[in-house]
Amino acid sequence: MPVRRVVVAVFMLVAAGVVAVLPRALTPDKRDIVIFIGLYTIVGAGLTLLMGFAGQVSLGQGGFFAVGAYTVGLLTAKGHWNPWLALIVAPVVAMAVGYIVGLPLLRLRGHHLAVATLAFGIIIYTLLNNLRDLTGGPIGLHGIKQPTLGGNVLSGDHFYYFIWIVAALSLVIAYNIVRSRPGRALRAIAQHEGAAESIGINVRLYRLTIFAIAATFAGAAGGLFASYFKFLSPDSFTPTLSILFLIIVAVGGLGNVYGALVGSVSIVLLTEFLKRLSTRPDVPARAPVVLQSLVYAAILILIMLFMPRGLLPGIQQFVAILIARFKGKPGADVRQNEAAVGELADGR
Amino acid sequence: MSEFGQYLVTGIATGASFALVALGFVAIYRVTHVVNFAQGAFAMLGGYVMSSMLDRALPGPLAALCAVLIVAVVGTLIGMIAVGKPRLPIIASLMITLGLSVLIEGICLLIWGDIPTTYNGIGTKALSFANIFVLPQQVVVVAAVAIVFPLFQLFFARTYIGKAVTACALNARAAQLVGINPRVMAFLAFGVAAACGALSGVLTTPLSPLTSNADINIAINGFAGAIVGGLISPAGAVIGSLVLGIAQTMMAGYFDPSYQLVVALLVMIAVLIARPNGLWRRA
Repeated sequence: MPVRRVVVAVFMLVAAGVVAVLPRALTPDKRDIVIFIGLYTIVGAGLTLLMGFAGQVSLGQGGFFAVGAYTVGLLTAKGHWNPWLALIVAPVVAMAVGYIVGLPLLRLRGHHLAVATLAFGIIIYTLLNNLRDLTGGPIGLHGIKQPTLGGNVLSGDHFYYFIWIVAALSLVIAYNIVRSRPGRALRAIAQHEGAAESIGINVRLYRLTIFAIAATFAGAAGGLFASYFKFLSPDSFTPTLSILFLIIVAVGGLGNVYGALVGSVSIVLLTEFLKRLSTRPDVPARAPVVLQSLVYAAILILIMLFMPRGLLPGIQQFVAILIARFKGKPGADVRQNEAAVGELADGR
Repeated sequence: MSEFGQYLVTGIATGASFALVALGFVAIYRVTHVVNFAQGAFAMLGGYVMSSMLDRALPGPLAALCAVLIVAVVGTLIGMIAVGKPRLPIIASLMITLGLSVLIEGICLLIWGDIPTTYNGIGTKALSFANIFVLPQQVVVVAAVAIVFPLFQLFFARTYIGKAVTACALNARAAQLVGINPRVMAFLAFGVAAACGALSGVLTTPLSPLTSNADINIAINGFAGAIVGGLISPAGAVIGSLVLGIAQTMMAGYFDPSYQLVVALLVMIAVLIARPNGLWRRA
């Protein structure tokens, strides 16, 4: 549909424009918010591939994010590697861990895979806390070095642009994976594994590879996270982070790659808004956490119940139904809605 | 040797508290094929409600009964949200229960705060046999499993309503044809699961104080126990939980307590991969 492609292209251009001018308008603490949007977009792009196109749920992306972050952290702070090299190695390590962990785990599917990946995330979190000699334990890891470009340390606004270039790249890569021959194979697997296998698609290899690719994206984002903030502690990598990634992808929509961007923008901005709303002197100190869990939970539940394709497609559909009602053709889009639910069901 | 005996006894008590949560997983999974992530939240909620009941000076047994009933009602409501919508995919149900568990966490934090909550159980003086110490509360937990497990089995195998639930678990369509409403049975299963979970919370809070993020650990331990029975066998769930409890206590005693949960996770992953339908069922 050419119209659709034009809309997407315009949307992306506007997004790029906004990202490019933002640092001029923002104070450093607000810049951090946009940095998080970029990082979560990278993770989300990988997770969308896994969930939306391969039909598998992972509750362990926070674990891969941590693997990438600590790879950069340890290599630059303790190994004194060149930060650029560390940033390149981080996604590779995450990919390797993805393959190793995925090899046994991907014999599972659906809810069993979800629980097993959740377990992976918790194991990583426990290790970060307890391998004190290596990771510094709960005290954290200091002395992470930032990369230099032409003699200047890449930090602040420059790092901001670097992260967004990587984020844009990861969206492009994910988009191309979806549209490639392997991408079509993946969608075939998500629709019906048996049928896919019968036409010669190596289901196990594809599932494993897409799992590892999702891990790679998370690892890359983790590496950037470590390099930008120059400090790591296990508390940044709790199982809640994995749930947050899941919510981002669910909000953004499973069926399209740019949903990762929509999801992270809406969730990060919402989180910031809630923080501002609830960290006032006249409310109890635990209010931000309470409010955040309540809102996250409500979003996840409502999206799953009423907009299984995500926020934008959901709103589109809602408008389409309204228009149909207005024109006097009630329920014109109900069938389409059910098809969407079916798509998701086939992925189990 | 007495060290080993001590760990064994403590382990059985720990495992018994997992077993109640595990039975809840089984009750729901059998009927709906949904892994209920909110199962740990039921236990947590049970403990918190119990503490509030005791604060209102209700006698222990009555407070426990109230707590279990209240959580059972909450559980049924959660079931309605998670599996009530027709043709909702299982994976969506799973994410909804995940959302609901986050919701309950938030509500618990709101009502009961972030200070660890606990109350006195039955007697604090440890009994000792041959240099092995047992708290009365630990005996109560084990006794609870010994009572609940046969009741659980009887309910599903002998009562009219329990048979209807089992029928849905075996073949939902056939059950529907003879006039059973599988959705109502699913809600019922959530209620039973919540009651089991709440009982675990009520009985174990005196042994280990509750915090508002306790639910995920409780759920993981219960799930790891239940997966030994393939999530469908109540007996497997109880045996799995007991073995897990013993393994964890041994781990904590002989090696390092910080890796206790990792033991559960590794056991769980190993069983999931090698025997996804339970240890004594063919894959």
